[in-house]
Amino acid sequence: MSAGAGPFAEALARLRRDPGALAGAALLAAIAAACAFGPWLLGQDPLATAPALRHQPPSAAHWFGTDALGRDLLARVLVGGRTSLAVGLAATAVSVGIGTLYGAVAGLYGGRIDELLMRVVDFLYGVPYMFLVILIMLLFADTARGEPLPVFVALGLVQWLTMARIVRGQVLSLREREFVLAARVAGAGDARILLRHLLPNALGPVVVYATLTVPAVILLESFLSFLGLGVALSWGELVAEGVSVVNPVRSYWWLLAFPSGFLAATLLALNFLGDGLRDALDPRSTP
Amino acid sequence: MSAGSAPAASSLLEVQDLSVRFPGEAGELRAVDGLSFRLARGEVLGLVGESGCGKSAAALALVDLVAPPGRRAGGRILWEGVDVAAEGARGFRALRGRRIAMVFQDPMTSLNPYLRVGEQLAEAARLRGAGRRAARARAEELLERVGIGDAARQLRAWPHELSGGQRQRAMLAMALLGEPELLVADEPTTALDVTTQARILALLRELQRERGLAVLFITHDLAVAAGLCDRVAVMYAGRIVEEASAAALFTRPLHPYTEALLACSPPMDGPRGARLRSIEGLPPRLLAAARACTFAPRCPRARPACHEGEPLLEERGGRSRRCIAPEAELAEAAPRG
Repeated sequence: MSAGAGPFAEALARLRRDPGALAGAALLAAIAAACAFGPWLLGQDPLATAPALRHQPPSAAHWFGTDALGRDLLARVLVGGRTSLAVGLAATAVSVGIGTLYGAVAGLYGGRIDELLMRVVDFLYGVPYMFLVILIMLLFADTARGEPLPVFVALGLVQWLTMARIVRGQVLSLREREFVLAARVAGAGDARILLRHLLPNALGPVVVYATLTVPAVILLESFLSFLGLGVALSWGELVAEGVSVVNPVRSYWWLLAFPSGFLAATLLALNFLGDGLRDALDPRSTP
Repeated sequence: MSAGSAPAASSLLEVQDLSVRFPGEAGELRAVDGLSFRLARGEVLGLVGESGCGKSAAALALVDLVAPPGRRAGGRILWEGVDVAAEGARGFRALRGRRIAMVFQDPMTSLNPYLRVGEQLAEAARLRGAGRRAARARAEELLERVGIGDAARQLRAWPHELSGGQRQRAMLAMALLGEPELLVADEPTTALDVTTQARILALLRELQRERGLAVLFITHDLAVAAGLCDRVAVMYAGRIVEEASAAALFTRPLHPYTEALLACSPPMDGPRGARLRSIEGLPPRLLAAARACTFAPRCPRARPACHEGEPLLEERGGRSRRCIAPEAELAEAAPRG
């Protein structure tokens, strides 16, 4: 009993009993591992062109076929996956970082500070976020087209708003709980209250929302790639290429099917995992 | 515990004219309105009243922790004669943990579910400057003192692994870690079952005597207050209506509200199945400054003058009350033993 499970350990145990979440996690791990180690095992250069091998359908030599320049599609999908997953994780990290701090400050101090901070969020909500992203991307356009960093920042900057609202709501409701009062009476200051008492208790919704932010960001990046504003060689760009060769005369179905398949599978896996985490971290869902 | 009032000179805490207000749609709610009391070193003062009379708001205001948008709207809080409120936030932070500790009503929510019991207790000690190892040792020692067996092991337990009584014991240990001079106990036993309640109260009394603690004991339970307190102040509608030694208050209430409250407790020798008595009407909404006695609309002894002016809290014979009815009229009603 004394070495019993803490709240996080219990949540993990609940997660382990959720087949949907487990399948999602397994699929995600498989895709991530393939993207991380696949290109290295494959030994194919995703950028090497081979004019003789243009538009080859899937074969033993090229499992996913080749594109218009004869490049191996499997290698390109795996390398593109690295980009897409990295964008998803990095932009989510940016959004969690900003949103958590912002929301926590608003919730903790309340009053005028809260009013002001939340009106800024409301205003940014009102601005179409695609417009914001494109604006930020254009600021970087001259120096860094196709570079990943501006995309991380741009996507992170539009995704933190909901996170800030979630954290603020959590902090507002936790702030008056007796354990927070008890810590205050014991002499704890704002920083300690926030880091030791409020944020750990708000972590559940943050983790869940972060898990659901990753697919949203990946999708958003794909859309940017579609517009030619994304990161070079990502799933979004591959899908865009695949779409561009769809025509009634000849079908290069593999160029569209494989990148979209990976994209869809990843989004699905992340959503399953996010749902599972939400159930696992919700204390009221104790079985 | 001896009854009797403390001389003003040795006051540990003196509250003068304290007000707490909460903004609301219909105007500002005066949860606490002109509350004054004195507490001597080592004295146990009960603050008794029904729900919503401002007991808890007053307690939180002592350490400046009224939840916004509520606020302390004036009054002086004198600690050993020095006005803390005048020093602002710094003054209150100096009180918290070192001079004043608090125990709250619900032991289920007063421990952080994401910290082990030992981490939370040690935190209270470390906030007073103890080193990591010393803090842990103090936590273990106090956990042992409040009657939690196998303290070394329970330090590693999570809050949800403790029972309600154990948690309230842990909260007491946490409150005592800062070696406070005043313990504010806000309904510390209300959420516990009767047996546990009796044990916690016995422990509280023991700790109070052993450490010479002053205690401000907030409760709605007259019987609990009678058993524990030296003096009892009865609150109604944000202010004190009567204050006396516990013995005097319960044997000879001199305010109709106290009298009515006492009449609500079922008599030990009453007939079985008799209906419980209650006070007719509802407490007033505290939106405006009182212009008349706030209890008058519910008072069986009200006279026309009661609706015309607010009586002052008058001291006489070591006790005080806020009522104009002659003492003899209240005293002649059969006193309850």
